[in-house]
Amino acid sequence: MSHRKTRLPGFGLSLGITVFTLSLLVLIPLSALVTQSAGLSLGGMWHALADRRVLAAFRVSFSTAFAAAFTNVLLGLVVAWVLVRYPLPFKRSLDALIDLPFALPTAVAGIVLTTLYAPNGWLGQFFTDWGIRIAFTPLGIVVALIFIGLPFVVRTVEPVLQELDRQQEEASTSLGASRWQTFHRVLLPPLVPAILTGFSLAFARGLGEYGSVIFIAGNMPMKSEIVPLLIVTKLEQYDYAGATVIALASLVVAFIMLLVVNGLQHWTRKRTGQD
Amino acid sequence: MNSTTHRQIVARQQADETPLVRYLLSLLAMAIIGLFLILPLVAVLVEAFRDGWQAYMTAITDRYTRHAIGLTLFTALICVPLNTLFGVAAAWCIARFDFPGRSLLTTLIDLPFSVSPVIAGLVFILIFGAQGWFDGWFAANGFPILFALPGIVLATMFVTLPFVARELIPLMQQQGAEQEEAAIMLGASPWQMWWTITLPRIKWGLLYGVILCNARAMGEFGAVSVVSGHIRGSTNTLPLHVEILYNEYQFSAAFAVATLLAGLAIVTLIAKSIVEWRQQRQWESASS
Amino acid sequence: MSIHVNQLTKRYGNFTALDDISLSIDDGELVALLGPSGCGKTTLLRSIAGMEFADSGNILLEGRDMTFEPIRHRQVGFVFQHYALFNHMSVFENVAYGLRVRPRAQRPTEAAIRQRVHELLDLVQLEWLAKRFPPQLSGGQRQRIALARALAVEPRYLLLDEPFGALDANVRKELRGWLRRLHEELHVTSLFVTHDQEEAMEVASRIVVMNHGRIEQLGTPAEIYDTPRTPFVSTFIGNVNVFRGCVRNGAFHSGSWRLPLPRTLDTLHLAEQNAYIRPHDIEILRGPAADWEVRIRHVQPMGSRYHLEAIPVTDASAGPGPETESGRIMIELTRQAFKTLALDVGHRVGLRIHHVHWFHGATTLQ
Repeated sequence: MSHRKTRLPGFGLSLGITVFTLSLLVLIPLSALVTQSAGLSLGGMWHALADRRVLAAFRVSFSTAFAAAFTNVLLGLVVAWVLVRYPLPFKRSLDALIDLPFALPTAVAGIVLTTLYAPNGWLGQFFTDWGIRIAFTPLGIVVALIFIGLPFVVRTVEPVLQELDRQQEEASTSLGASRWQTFHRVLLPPLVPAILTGFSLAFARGLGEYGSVIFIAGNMPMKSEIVPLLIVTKLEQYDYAGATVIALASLVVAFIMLLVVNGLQHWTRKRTGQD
Repeated sequence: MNSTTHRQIVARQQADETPLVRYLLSLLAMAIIGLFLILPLVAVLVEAFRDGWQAYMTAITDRYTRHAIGLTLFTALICVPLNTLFGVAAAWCIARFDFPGRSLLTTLIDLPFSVSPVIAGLVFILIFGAQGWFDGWFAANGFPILFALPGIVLATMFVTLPFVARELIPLMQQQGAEQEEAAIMLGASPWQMWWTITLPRIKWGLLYGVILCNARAMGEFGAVSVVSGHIRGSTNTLPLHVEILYNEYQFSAAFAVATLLAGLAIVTLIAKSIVEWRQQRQWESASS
Repeated sequence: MSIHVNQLTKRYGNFTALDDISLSIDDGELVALLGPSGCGKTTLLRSIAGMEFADSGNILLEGRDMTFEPIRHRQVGFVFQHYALFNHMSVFENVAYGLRVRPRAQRPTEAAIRQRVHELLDLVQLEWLAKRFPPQLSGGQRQRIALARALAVEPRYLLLDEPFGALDANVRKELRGWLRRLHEELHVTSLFVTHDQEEAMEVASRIVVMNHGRIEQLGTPAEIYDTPRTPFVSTFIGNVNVFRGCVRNGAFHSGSWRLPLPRTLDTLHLAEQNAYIRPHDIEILRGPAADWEVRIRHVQPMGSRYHLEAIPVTDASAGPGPETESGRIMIELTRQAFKTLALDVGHRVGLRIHHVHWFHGATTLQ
């Protein structure tokens, strides 16, 4: 009943401030993106997008964001599980630390991850022995995006895990299920929507991420150049039209991806009766 | 021990993982946290002091660093209060009233989170840039927006716009309007209602949103980088200053400045935990 | 301090919450708005309080049109179902709130506020809780504090939204009597919403029965119970046996059973006519001279009264028995009558019907 129409004061004022600010900061600027690209012909847009370097950047951005988000699901599940279920020393501090990637400015994350994973860096030197280069390759991008995206999965899975009814697990065990059967038949299904949310948040963030990636990526065109960097490069060359088209395309693609994930989430919720 | 509780304990033990699995999983989680979260923090500190205390102090008291600190603080000082006002207004109309377009408004508020910071910067270039809507009109008339403070503020406001509203909307929806209605029924004026009822109830949630908003406002890199022009001593915020130093191979100076931002992150996390804890207490006492 | 509601209508999209409601409440009355959830009773209460706009119609308080008056001019005290106490203020501050927020010129002195709050806490018998905070109180205590808070501003009208809805059964019972005595003492025109018929019967001087946004009946508890005007009222208030059937030749027929009609109805011929019979309007007879015959299936002692469930006894030759909604007939006896008759499960007994509610016109054909 929280949305009853009431006569509480301040509706006009608060709506006015909200609409005014949103228009000025979000709607008008984003519509600039659309009107600027409307100046281009469809052929011109296609030409700008079909460029090999642009396509390569999209491929790099999507594949690294996907790989990182997928890794985050695995790592995030383990971390969330342990933080919710097991006793740990300094648990509160560790739990608070999960949000570090949200709080740490991305530029700092970028330079420190580069230092850690450079071929002669703290961690990178060990990989060099194995013949693996992390920094200045797409693998470095994935590492940066794993760092940036880790809290999304942990923070979406944690509350669901806390709400889970222990009695269901006990019931499953009492019916003769092994621990692993209990996990993937009783525990996992209700976690799926949260996992999907965490995945899609991490993925979307990964697609747009700039600060933490540009230091570690090496930024070699065709190989380790991400879409946001390409936009900046175009801007620096005063190719506003090119930058606009790429930006619009990445927005549209990201939007479609989110729609797909939302649909998938809706479907799993429905199927598991959580709607 | 009576037999039912004993049975429950046995059942629970059987429903748990074996000690070995628990141990390995705990170890794995600690390794993930250590490798991805703690190690980078340690690395920032170690790299910052690589050239000694003296070099560190020189780096962070450098003229350009001081200017960058000032610019970052000033930007946050403008953006955070404005976005707080916006967040409170948005939460009030969305959580307390029903009107056509309400869900559209909620979606629009979240939009800046799903837009790349680079694109956030780009849109302001399209509006105020040389080939943009205003075709540099502001700059020609002595009030430059791009590569100047207003551009930095606009881009920062864009990326931090959702923080306060997103925190308050679910909180206020869950609290419901009854207490505010009660205050109005008892004769309170709108201001009295706001100061005596609404604000005390949302203060922790509001503070939480403000803390997150501030952390992002001070640390934003991508959007600001696009609109600022990186003019040292003029439009260089702290994160941009870190980038410039790093790209000039002044690594320990870059990390020295980075310790300031890492310190901000730690302070943010601590403040966030305290607020979370207080909020939880308020919530528990309200629902007991 | 009268309340007049004239043709109030309110819609939410396709849903009609209030459908042309007109209602008059006199000074000093204690009236219950009774109905199932979603019947519009809370919307009506909130409209009178000014927390909601109606689409059309108006509300007169003491003869003055208040439809568009701001809430603070209405001098209405409102008690919420979930108390809506300010959790961050002490009990004392909660009660003092309405006095403290007055414009400076009308605000009582600190001493006067203190005295008034203590008077009110005394009135609700909770003075010892003044320094506590709402989360530390029980539900019943919270509701009494909410009432004290509403009374602090000396309202001319007291509106209560399901005041006991969130409380345990025994606390509810205790608070009901307390509310009625409080009303006798203060005589503030009061209107309360409830979905509990027992509560309405026990507390109110008059009851407004609502359903689907309309007023079904308005009257004293006795009128509502004894002469329900619609089938809804008769089934919603108290227990009732509904026999489906039809009217032919001056008698009501339900299956093979037949009941002569009162003279006012005997000229009617209705394809469908239900007979509404209260469980206590049925007498049990041993031997002949009964209207109908039944077998007792279940006996439930309820303290001073006995509730019986019976099923119709029919001969194969006479055709099917009467049609009731549950297939069973509910009968209520006094302890005395039950003992005298020495009844038990399995007994075959006769029934004599003492009183039937008939509803004619369109409303009957449901």
